[in-house]
Amino acid sequence: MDVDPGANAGYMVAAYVVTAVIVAGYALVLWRRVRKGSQEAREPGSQGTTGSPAL
Amino acid sequence: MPDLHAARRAASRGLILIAVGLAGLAGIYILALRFTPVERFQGLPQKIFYIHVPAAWSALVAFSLVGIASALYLWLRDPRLDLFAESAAAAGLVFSVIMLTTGPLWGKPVWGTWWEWDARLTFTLILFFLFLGYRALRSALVDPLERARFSAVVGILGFVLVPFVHLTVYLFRTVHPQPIVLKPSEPSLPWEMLRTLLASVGVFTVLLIGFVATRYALGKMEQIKGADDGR
Repeated sequence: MDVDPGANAGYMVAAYVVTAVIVAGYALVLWRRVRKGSQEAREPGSQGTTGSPAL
Repeated sequence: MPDLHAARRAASRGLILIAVGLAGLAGIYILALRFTPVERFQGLPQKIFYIHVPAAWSALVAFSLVGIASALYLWLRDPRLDLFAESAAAAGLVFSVIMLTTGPLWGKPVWGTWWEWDARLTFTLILFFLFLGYRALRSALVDPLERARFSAVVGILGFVLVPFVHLTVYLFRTVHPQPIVLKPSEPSLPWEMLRTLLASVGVFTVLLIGFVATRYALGKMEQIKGADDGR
């Protein structure tokens, strides 16, 4: 049985939005950490972080 | 500090890859929504397929990389392998969250339920929790050698689950569809849909490489700075 092509479009929109938010969010977290790390490296006598980087 | 500069350059290259992947993801959305036909029985929710399957692919590849790097670490004791495993695990968790979010969003309109405790879904959830435990273990252990050794064992255990997750649809009665591309016979979907799926798998693979490379370089930067501060 064919369905109305537009039915339940909200689920698809939600899935696409959630995916974009998660991917872009993680990219932003990594970008900020790289930028922070680069700035700390430029500052003489700066205190770097040690150990395992957080997620 | 030539090592630190090299790590920063590697991080920049990783970020460029991620930017390419994000642009590619926008392209996939256009390709899936504008140039790929609507499936006649499921309607628009079927288009979740073009992000759910590539996210699952990337998660399982990432967890496989964790397992391989972990096994190699236990053999060679090279700390770079431990850092690589950690970077791949973080990326795998990101893609797992996408997989475990888009799956129920697809299941609700098609199966009539957000979640079924069937073999595929349950084993996928166990794999996700196992790598959450991997993260927690790494955070809890202070000694780097102990952390690397213990988490390598968990990484290998997770890797053992990966093929099992793929094969659950053959081994158990499950509501989850059987593979339509990664199977012995030809892919069972029209070319327009297969093209979009393969393009999306490519984009998610670029994102995976970008995430792992950037995270690895970040770990390197922090290790080098930590060593310098300790002097």
